[in-house]
Amino acid sequence: MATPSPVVEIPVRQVKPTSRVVFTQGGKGGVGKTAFSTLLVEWYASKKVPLALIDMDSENKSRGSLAHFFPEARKANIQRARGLDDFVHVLDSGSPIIVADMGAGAGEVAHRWFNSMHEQARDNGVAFTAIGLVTPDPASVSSILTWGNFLRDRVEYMIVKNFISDPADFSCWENDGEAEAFRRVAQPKVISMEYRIPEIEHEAREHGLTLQAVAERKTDVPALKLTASVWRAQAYRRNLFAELERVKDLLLL
Amino acid sequence: MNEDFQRIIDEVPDDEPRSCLEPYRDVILRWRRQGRSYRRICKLLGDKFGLKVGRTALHEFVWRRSRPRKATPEPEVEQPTSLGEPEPMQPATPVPKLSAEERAAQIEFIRSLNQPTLEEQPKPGWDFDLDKPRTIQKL
Repeated sequence: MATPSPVVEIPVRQVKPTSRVVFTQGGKGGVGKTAFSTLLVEWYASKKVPLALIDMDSENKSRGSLAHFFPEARKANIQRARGLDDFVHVLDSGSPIIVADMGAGAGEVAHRWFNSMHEQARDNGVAFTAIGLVTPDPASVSSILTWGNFLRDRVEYMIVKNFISDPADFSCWENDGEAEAFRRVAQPKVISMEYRIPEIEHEAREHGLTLQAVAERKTDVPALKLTASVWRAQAYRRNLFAELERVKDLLLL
Repeated sequence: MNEDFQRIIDEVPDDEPRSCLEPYRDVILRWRRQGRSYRRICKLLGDKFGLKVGRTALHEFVWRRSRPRKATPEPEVEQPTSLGEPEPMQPATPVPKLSAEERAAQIEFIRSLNQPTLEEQPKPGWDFDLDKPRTIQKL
């Protein structure tokens, strides 16, 4: 008989936070962290929420990083000594919401930073939302569990089931015993990001274009000017925005 | 500065561009942003400027120099991820610091967006079971 996982009490939020850091969990590469972050930023923009963007993806520098799509994103370099202090710098400038896209391999630094700084951040009204992306690849589930193991109850969790194929098999996430224990204890809110056809995904990434630019026909790229592409971009945005509305308490204050 | 050094600096001419494509950089990047393929751009460079260049060289040139939304290219140095001296974060744009009132107003606005939405009443559905015996009768 399997040993039951230790139950971590999830603290009830007594006071509304005055700031929120929303970050993608680093770790497994290629699960769609930046693709999701890009749409998340578009959702915030659609609601006119003032926010700051931090691009912590040092491995994906020139193309496909958050700063490639949003030039206003600040490139930050995760380092052992300074950890995630850039969160603090940006919060200090006044942005109540930060979206940070972590690169692969950020785990150890984030771990140290949370151990050292989390209480201080919490006492200053900062809440954290950790976003984990699940794909049919079992490694994506392992990555989420690894991050959950050290973040524990210090963050709120959002899981995005990223349909990188159609259909997509999420049995690793849905049937794995440890994933089930994580869901029971951490109570993540789960949303879906529907399958995007590669012609749009790849072309937009190649040219640093957001889906908003495609949806609003602000591009000269032939494949993305097609009405079918425009309608698809509009549909992708609408469908994901509807999902984000369901979990907006993890994204706002 | 030592006058000899200054004279030497003045005498040494600027280096030539490392790539013969450098003079055409803006044109090439613009063509790429317009969605033209590398093959097509190679042909255009030949037709318009008499320049012969291979697709691989062109791809390498574009990859190294395309910074579609930045005014100045980033240095191509590998950033250390765990060791070395801490570097200050490099903001793409200066961050204006908000006043306490501005920040309070932003927080209030963001909280106003976080109100629970009213659950939509489900619309009456209609299912048609193909296997069910029909009871439609002629009036």
